[in-house]
Amino acid sequence: MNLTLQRCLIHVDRGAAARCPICRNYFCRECVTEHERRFLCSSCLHDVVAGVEPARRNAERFTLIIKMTIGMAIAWLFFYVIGQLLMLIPPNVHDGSYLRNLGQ
Amino acid sequence: MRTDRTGLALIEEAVQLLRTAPVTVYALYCGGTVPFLLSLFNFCVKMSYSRSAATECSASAVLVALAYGWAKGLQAFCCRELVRAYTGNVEGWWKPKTIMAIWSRQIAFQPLGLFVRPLAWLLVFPVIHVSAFFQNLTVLGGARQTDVRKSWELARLWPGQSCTVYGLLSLLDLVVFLDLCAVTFSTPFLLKALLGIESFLTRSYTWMFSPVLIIALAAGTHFIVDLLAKAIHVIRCCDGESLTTGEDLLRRLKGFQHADGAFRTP
Repeated sequence: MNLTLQRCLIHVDRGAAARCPICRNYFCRECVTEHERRFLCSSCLHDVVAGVEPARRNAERFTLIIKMTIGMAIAWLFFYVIGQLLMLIPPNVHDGSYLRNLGQ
Repeated sequence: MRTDRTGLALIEEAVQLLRTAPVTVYALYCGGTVPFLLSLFNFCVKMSYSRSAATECSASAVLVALAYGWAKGLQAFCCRELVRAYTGNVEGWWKPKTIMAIWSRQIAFQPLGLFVRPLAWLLVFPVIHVSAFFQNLTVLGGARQTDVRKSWELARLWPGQSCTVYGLLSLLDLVVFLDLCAVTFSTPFLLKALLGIESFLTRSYTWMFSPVLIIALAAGTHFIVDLLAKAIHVIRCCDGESLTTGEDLLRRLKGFQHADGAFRTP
């Protein structure tokens, strides 16, 4: 349908400037808002934001939990390597008896 | 914001900041770092002397990693308090949501430094930027999405000043380490000479070369010098951020307003 022949759903005295891609209704310039490169009416925009935000927040939380797990795994690996290196040192170095042997 | 500040002047300012800092700064720093260092020392002792070290290694490493995460979180809060002491205004970090955000980001990013820093030491040059990056991340907290990028940008600011500061801090590390060694090694012999207290430490000198003792002394050195390094990075971060926000000018103006006679018409 031709846009120029349509009227705004809210302001009937105004000509339509855009059609909301979600509810398929016509609106004037004041009644639409750009959201992610689409012109949406206020009610559809509200629904989109309300639906998108928790999903994004959940995704961010999930990513953060994975990052924390990786971080703790890295820290564990570092200290595990330190422990293994300490175990490689012979006992006579730990108790200093190698120095006595050197003196003899 | 003073870009003409030398490395030595920055260290002096950091010392001044620590002297005027509230007791919460020291409480948070000690509350985080002391348990971590104790658990690390306990781990090193276990791995060096325990017969069951091989079987206990992975479980003990988990405990040290958890203590590390605990320490990094509290160090970030300590830096928030230092920022508050330096600037006089900071967003409230004590809200549970902010605390969790800072803590989780610290746990996620700081362990990378355990491997990246030694690698940077091997390559010599980028170690200053890398160390500064992880310190800046502690100062900024990481609660905001842009904090990681901002930490890297701030780490690259004023490279000359950074080099001087790191050179002087390394020298200070060495001096503090030697001091701690001197105190630790001389105490048993002084006790014997002055009070006649004899122990296994005075019968032989070989314990001085124990790897665990060397690690403990290095950890003690880190404990003493790291707070100064954090104060230095707090100042650098605040000054660096002021380049775009002009916060330092607002702070100075506020200072003039409160000063007697300033901005008063006759």
